[in-house]
Amino acid sequence: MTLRNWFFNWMIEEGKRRLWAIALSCLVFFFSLPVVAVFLSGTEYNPEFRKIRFTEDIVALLSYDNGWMIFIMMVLAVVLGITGYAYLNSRKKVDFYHSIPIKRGKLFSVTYVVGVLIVAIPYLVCLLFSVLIGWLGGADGRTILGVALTGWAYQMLSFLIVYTTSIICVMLTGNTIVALLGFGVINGFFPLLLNLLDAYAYTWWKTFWNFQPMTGWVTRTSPIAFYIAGSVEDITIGRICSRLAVSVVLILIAAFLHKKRPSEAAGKAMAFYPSQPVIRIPLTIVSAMSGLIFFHTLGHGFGWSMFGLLTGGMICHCVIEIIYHFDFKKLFSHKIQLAVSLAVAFLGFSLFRWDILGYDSWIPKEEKLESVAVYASDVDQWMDYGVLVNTENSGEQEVSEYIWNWVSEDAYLLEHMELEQKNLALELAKTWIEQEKSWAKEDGPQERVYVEYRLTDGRKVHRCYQIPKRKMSQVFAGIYQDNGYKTGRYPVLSMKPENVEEVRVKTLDQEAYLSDMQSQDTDMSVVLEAYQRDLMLATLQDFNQIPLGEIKFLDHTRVAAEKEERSNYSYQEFYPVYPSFTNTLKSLEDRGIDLEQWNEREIKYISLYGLYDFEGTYQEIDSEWIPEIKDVLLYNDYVRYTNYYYEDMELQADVCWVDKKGKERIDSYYVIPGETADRLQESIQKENENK
Amino acid sequence: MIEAVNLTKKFEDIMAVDHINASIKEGNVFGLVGTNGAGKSTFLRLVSGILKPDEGSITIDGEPVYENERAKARFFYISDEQYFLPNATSADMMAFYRKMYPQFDEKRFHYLLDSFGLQEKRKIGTFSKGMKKQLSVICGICSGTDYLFCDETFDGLDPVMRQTVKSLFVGDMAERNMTPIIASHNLRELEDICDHVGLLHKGGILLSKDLDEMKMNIHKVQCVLENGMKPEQIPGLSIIKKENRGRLYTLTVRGEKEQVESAMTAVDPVFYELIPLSLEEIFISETEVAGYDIKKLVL
Repeated sequence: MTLRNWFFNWMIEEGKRRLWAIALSCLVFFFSLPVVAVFLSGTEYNPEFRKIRFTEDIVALLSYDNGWMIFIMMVLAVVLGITGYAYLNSRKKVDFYHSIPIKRGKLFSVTYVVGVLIVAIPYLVCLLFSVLIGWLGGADGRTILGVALTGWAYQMLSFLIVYTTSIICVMLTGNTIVALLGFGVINGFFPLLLNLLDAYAYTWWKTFWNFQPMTGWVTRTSPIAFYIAGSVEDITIGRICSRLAVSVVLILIAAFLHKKRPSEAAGKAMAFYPSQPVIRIPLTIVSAMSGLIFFHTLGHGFGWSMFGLLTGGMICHCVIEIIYHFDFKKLFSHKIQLAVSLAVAFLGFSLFRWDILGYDSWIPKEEKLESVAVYASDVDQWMDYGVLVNTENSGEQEVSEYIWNWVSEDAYLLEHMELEQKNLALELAKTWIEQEKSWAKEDGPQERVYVEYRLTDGRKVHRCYQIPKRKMSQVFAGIYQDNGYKTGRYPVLSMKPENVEEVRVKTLDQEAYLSDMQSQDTDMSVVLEAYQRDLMLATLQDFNQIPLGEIKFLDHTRVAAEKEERSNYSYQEFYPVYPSFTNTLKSLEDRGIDLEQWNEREIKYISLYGLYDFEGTYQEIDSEWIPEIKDVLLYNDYVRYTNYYYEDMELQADVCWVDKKGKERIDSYYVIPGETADRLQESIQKENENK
Repeated sequence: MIEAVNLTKKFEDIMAVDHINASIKEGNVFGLVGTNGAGKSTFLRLVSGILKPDEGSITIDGEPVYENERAKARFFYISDEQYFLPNATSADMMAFYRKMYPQFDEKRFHYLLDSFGLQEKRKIGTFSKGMKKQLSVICGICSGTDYLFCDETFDGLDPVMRQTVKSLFVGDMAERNMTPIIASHNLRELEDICDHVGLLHKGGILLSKDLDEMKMNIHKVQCVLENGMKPEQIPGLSIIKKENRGRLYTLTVRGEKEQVESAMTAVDPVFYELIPLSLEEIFISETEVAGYDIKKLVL
């Protein structure tokens, strides 16, 4: 037979053998694509945005990131990969296929190609059909065709990875069920191991910060995770190349294993004897370590941990031995390997439990430290980080013209922060190491201080130091004063004064835009410069003050977003104004806003109720307390702007006061801990006792 | 010629085929006998290129079989439990084999199918075990290959069908020098068809001889000797086995017919006659000489 002859002849035979798979594939794609496209074309949209929204929906359907398509592609990859070569698991079929005059390599290649085509052709046809339906329904034809073809190519590339992995599982095993279990192991082992290492580190390493956890590697160690991860990211040349490279490597592995796989492997659990310990030992170790941490979590004792290690390891070993031999009586085979596995698991546990590698005590040498970023979980926790997005030409425009997309605090700070005095971070680490044991014994809440050490060799090392909150003012004060900290922490410090077009000021009952004030000085940049000056000079101690109000600075885009009624920006990017921010207060006053005056209120009565130790008490206090107490009342929404911790506030107050229009309103406040609060508590206690 | 040299196959710690040396000449019917687990199927699977030898080699006319399309195109292998394509009919199997074996005789396939009473369009899944065996034999014969490997193929065929298949083999051997290699645990099945028989035991070949040669060199003599004379006293007679019932002796002796006849005539017995030995009896004698109890090995 010529090359073309044998290939196509065998493809036809293979197609006949897998008719059911072809039917399944056609059916799945038909209902997942054209049927959905027809359904979408019948959906009622806002007529103004119909074309945009319909195109977006069709794009979402045809795109590579369609979750349902990813799911069915993965299922089809496993089904086709495993059933395509399932004949290798039957002696009868092996005798048949391996006795006919056709090389195994040819059998392998045709079976492989047919498996791919069973998915590729129905998928492509259904995609094109859906594009046609979308185009007829009014979607932008060129856009959806491009998305469909890109999606098809990318999905097929990702499909190859999962498909070939499942074939490798068939090659390594001699039984379909074991092949499926093997697929589970290949996909689940490393994610489980990485999660386990994360859990171990989190449990026993005190300075472990899982900002970039080991689970970040999951996408590179599990074919399914790699597939899914690729779908939530943009398609780049790098991603395409990495998928191509992985596919080629996997195909070569599969072909090699197929060539080496003995025919007599049919019906056995494992096709290659040497692969048995290679799979069993790591699984036993991971299972033992999983058992250990499970029972540690339940029992919190060394004994329970060891119980978990032994049972987890032994059960896993025995189950695998039973599967390997298809014989229950063989469960305790390879006892020495079991003992070695348990010993390795214990060693792994020891590395974390007794910090043998010195993870917690590690501090970089100053000369090897390029830069450093430091921030604390409760200091400046009020900050909003995000990007203002113009939604023009997107379906989101139906919601709002501008959308505030939040950015995580970690991501923003680690990108923007760089301490000017990097030794401050080293001193903090040294202090933690010296004080750790005594601090751990302290009662009360703990604060997390996050550090990213950027080393001269390009590595980034992350640590998290737990410090008692009451020690924070002394430990963190220096870092807070660092200019690098502040410019990294507060985006407003990077704002150019000439860009400021509007300033918004508000207290709990009043607010104003500077442009609305009857002021002769319309230069808003002065206010920003004043605020920037105040913020740079602020100390951690300043945050013990009660803010007078909030302020936000708006550039051209922000003004537009602010005025867009449906925008979610209106509540973002406020900064506190403290009594110590004299430059800001003065510049505002010059423009007709006297924040101190805005805070003058006629209080009618105050009702106190206790928190924590005083829980349950609720009573109106005598009016003579009012002048004294009003200086220690902290408006609920402003607690985040201060150094006070909710845990320290024993009293809360409902304050009834009369606003400028003569209307009564009640707001909730905390009573700042201190002398006044203590005397109030004593007074309440006495009154309660007298009752 | 198929030649196995030092052929060895192990399945983990089980030695399935143990350093076998054998030659199978073209135009002969090679019978492979042995108990279950003796290594017959493994040997055939090695010859068919399904299994890769651990040691030694197996060649067809000097060409190794494993992963060699040209060598594989020269034989058709009928396994003890032949596989047919899912939902296939006889016609489907014919279409499949026609692509695999260019010499496939389609006309003969239709003819034989009709002769055996098998319906072409009927699903093979609905066939009885015997019908499946018949179909696989028909496919094998019609494939037009030089060799036909049959693993327990006669097991499951009724006596009439067995004879029919045997006659088909004989016809093809005469017509196109086909060489069937038949593995069976039943000596009687091979008796009237084999030219050469190999006895496998525990993976090794215990015995491999031409049947004619064996038959020519071993004879059964029934005789009544003169009073007081013992068979051992007959000069020139190599007795392998001796039984007696009164004065009637049944001797199994080694040697050519003329040699035995002249030895018997020389002692002037009261009565003697040479009785043909069955294959089973030949094997019993031969293996007993080798120190084995054939009844424990086959049948």
